[in-house]
Amino acid sequence: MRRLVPIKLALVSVLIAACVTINVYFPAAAAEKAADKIIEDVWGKDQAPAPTPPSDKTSSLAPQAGRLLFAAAGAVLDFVIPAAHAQADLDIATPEVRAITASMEGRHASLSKYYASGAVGFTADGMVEVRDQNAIPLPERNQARQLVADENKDRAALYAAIAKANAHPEWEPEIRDTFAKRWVAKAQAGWWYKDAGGWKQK
Amino acid sequence: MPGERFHPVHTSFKAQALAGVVLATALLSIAPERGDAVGRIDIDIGDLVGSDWSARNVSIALELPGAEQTIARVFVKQATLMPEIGALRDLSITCPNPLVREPLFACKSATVSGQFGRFGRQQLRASLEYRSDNETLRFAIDGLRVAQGRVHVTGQWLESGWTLAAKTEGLALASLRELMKPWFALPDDLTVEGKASLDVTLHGADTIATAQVGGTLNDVTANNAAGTLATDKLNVILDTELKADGADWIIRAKIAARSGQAYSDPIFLDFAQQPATATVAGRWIPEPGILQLSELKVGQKDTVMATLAGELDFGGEMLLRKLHVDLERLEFPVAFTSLMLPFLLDTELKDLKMEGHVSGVVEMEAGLPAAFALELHEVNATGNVASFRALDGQVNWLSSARRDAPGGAASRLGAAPSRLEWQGGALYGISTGATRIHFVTAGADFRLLEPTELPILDGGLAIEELSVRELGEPQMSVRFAGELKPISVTLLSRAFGWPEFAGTIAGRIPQVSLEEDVLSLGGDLDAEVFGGQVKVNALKLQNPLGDYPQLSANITMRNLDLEAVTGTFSFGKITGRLNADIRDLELFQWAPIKFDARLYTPPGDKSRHLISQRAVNNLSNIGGGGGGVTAALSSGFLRFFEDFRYDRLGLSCRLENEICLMDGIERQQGESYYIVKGSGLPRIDIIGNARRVSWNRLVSQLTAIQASGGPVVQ
Repeated sequence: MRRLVPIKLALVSVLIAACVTINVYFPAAAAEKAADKIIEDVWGKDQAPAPTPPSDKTSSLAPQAGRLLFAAAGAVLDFVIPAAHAQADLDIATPEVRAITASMEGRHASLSKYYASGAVGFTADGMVEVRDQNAIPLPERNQARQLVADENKDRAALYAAIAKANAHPEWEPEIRDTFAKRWVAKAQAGWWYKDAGGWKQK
Repeated sequence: MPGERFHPVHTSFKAQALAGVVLATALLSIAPERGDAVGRIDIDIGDLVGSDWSARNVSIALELPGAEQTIARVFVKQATLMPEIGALRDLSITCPNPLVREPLFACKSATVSGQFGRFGRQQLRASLEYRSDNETLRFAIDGLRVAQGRVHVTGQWLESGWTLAAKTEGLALASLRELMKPWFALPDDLTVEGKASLDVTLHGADTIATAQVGGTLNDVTANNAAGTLATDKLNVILDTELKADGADWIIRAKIAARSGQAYSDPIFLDFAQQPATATVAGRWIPEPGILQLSELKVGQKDTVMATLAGELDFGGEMLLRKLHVDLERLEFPVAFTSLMLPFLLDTELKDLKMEGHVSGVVEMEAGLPAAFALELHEVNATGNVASFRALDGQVNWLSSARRDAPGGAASRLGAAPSRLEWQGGALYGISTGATRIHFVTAGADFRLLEPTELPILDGGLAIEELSVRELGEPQMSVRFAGELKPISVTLLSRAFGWPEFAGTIAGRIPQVSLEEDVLSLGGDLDAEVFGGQVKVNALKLQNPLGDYPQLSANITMRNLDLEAVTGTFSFGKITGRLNADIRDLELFQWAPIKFDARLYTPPGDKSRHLISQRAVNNLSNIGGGGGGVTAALSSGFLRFFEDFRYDRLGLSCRLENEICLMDGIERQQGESYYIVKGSGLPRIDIIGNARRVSWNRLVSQLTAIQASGGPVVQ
């Protein structure tokens, strides 16, 4: 029996070493691509071309302790397993996403004039907000508020639906974050957006 | 006289003193000189200084151009009467033929010019009359130009008191606001444009006793920076009277708006469409800033007629202390769209449309609704999900604070039970019939007082018990007991636009819960359709009132008559029985997006199993067989057979991400699977090859099958 102990220990060590935890990270690049596709659908393709900022895809997520280690592990896995998973697109072709996108597209014709006049702008949490009521004629103010409320409901539903469609409901905040940046990046010159420093005009 | 210090005159109004003194001095000084052949007399008075007023470099000139003709001129280099107005400079008063008949001194048509401080350079005509025996003064000033408009002022000081009246015409509000700054300031972020033509009359003795303001404000366009308060070309007619009562003011006012628009976040009023009037009687208590409304009558065309009474606290944190509203008439749709809907834009009620009218009483306390008793008259309410036609009845409600207050709620407003009845309506597009409900509601609680039945198509929903506590709160609870009385599936399918099929749906609903926007039904719903039994359970409706309702359920079907099923859906006749298990069904906007479904011949089924050519063809298409089957069936000896016998059949589809993963009763080889296993001769097996099928293509195929008459087999 005694002689078996080292063998058992060795076996346990091998087993422990073989326990690889694979964490799935939010696919930032794919999310950006998906966001751009949806924004094009909602706003139409005649939007001013907005170059993607040259950013490190993973660095857009808050760096956390241990992430480097996993990134290294990921790199090894990428090497072993051809990078099919890493390049996977975010699924946005679901009936929910399509229905919400269509609803937003239908609303855009009414909302865009408020973007242009500066009455409505984009917030850092991927929503829209009435920025300047005085830029809206009195009889239209409630209609504009209604449009903003409806748009925000759709946007919240959209971010949740994309996360759910990709079987990662917990990605909703990151998806929202990605969209928040892409709405602004693809916005026309003259439209307004809000960041930590307040309202800015693009 | 030069250099004489003038002693302060103890009168409440300095202008009276100055004018009287100057006039009397001037006139007295010339009186003894009359008749002498002097062409002109200059008298240098120098400075006159009172306790809080002064006039510097005062001089008087008398001209005697001819017999019976005198011209008196008074010059003041600089005078300060009220510091708020600023200094008066280069004041010149010319009085032709002054009347001097002691004690009466008068000047009927003086001209006055000079720089009048904040009021700028002025050229006026004035008349003045002073009696030295009783110290009374009357005057009128014409041609005063203020704020780009004209002002006519008259005044009189009698022993009993004074009156000052100003008629103004076309004053620019923006300039007037600047002018009035020392006395009255609007918030800095408010821009105001427009004209005012007002008549202002002030009466007083030591202090102001009454103030009357009447007239019009025209084309008033105002905006605050936040855009929460605005008007556009607003025209207002005013008739106001303020009466001092100790430190308080008693207010009577009539205000009418006949054109223009106003917006006070979130309410927008278009007075051209719906002119409005308000009549106020109340008391303003400056310290601590409370407005007591003894009666505020408001009326707006096609919108509202109401009388309000209450207390507004402008000094405290809570503006609306208490308010009692007697609603004579609240008229829909205007009152709903303009006064109520703006508060509902963020809710699922945003698409609600209302008609009819409401009357009753509403009470508010500390800024919140405290109770109401409302009568509904022929109200039609149409929403996205539900609609009610011809709603009548009385709804009584009181806040939980009032309900729980000591002293018992029984006799209070809003404590009585409520009653509603309606003649019909719809729920998710299905028409519902006339219903009457009796209930009590207070705070966020609702309780049905007696069982009721909501007719649905030819059946109905019998509600035995329904109570909701803490609606909208995390600790909300719902108690429900009811039963679905048999409803014809034919009518139901017609209402949903499905192919019509026979049967009924019924069931006991022991429990309903509403949590985080998910409506869940406990118990099973049973349907009798196609000669078999259908059980629906775990029914959940997410976002039931929203734009994206999502339904989930499990459905189990037993022993359906396949001949009836295939006949209804023009699939091609199949006889026999069918079981179906549909697990985890999810509908998004009433279309399936996910399920795990299996249709199969019940084990040990002894019924006659026949499948027609057309059904074979259609099933083959679904299984990926395509046109080859049609060719095979319609040629050779098979074409002589109309039906074929089968042993069992089955098909399953697991739908996810718009892909249907298909399978049959058993695997044949590799990816192929049996959909139908034939028996006897000629034996036909239908083998499916397509495992992953696009759901949309499958649906369009099934739709096409239903629409077409099927292949012709000869």
